[in-house]
Amino acid sequence: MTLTDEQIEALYVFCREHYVTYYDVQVELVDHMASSIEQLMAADPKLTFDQARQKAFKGFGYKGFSGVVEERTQQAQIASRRRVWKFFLSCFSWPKMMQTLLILTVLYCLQFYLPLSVLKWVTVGCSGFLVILEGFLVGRQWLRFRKPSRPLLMMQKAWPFQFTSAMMLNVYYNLFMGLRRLDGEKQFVTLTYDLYILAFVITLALILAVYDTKRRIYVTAREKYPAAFPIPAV
Amino acid sequence: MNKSTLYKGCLEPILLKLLHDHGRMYGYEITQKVRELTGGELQITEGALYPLLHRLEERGILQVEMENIGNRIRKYYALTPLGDRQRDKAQSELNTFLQTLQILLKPAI
Repeated sequence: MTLTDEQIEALYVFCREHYVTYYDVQVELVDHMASSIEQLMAADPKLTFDQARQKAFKGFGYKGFSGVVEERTQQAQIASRRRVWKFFLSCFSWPKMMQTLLILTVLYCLQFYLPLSVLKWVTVGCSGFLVILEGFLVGRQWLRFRKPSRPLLMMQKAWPFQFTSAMMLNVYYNLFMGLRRLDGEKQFVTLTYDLYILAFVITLALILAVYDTKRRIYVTAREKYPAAFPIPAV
Repeated sequence: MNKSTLYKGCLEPILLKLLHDHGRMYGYEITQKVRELTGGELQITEGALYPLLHRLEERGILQVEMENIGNRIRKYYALTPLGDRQRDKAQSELNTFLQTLQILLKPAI
């Protein structure tokens, strides 16, 4: 026997009642419960849907669905962190390293041609660029990444989606201030400029890594759970 | 001693072997197949199976396919090339473990 649409919907409600609010987790649990209920009801036709559902739920043990949600959350966080880290490291390894080195070299060589008073403005310009880039990427993401109509754990619990622009700029500020301790926090000198461009390149790689990871997660979510995205992608 | 405790550490090689033999499988199918093959001796609980499946999926050992089956969506798991290599490794580790156990449990002469 096959469960009706109403019974499948009742299983989604059952999941929500047991604190499984994420659609990507619900899909799998509903299919599992439905398969189990179908088999139980086929073996014992006297069994009602509710009785079979309770029997099927017992298979998840004393923790119920919470164990599944906990593990899924943990894995989503680990995987997203790993993706960010992988992209970040790729900026400092072959072949992307060439681009990173080019940016570093251009900025580094400026100090041989420009006086310190102008280099100060170069750092201001680079900081402005980072703020604009972050704003641009967040805006692009807002326009392109349509919010799912049903919450997805793989997006909500992924680390880059919890990492805001304010946090990113805070990392940048602290990174630079941390590096400045190396030059004794004196007046703006050449070493200050060198430390600044280092902080700039690291933050740039981090911004791109976070954005790229968000994009990949979003694309995967759309492929796997199209029903959670009723509006087509831009 | 509780049987399920004994089997607990062997869950990963069992799962990888099943997926290797049957191509792709979904969660409920795995629990039923294990029950069928072992004559009910081993029952994988859902609470142990899904966390393991999700862990292996994130590690790139398993890949998933979503399929619409009537009024619901089914998630199928299959081994990736990395998963195939991991299966060989897990199998040989399990064999070594079994040999070690046999040495320990062999009656003293």
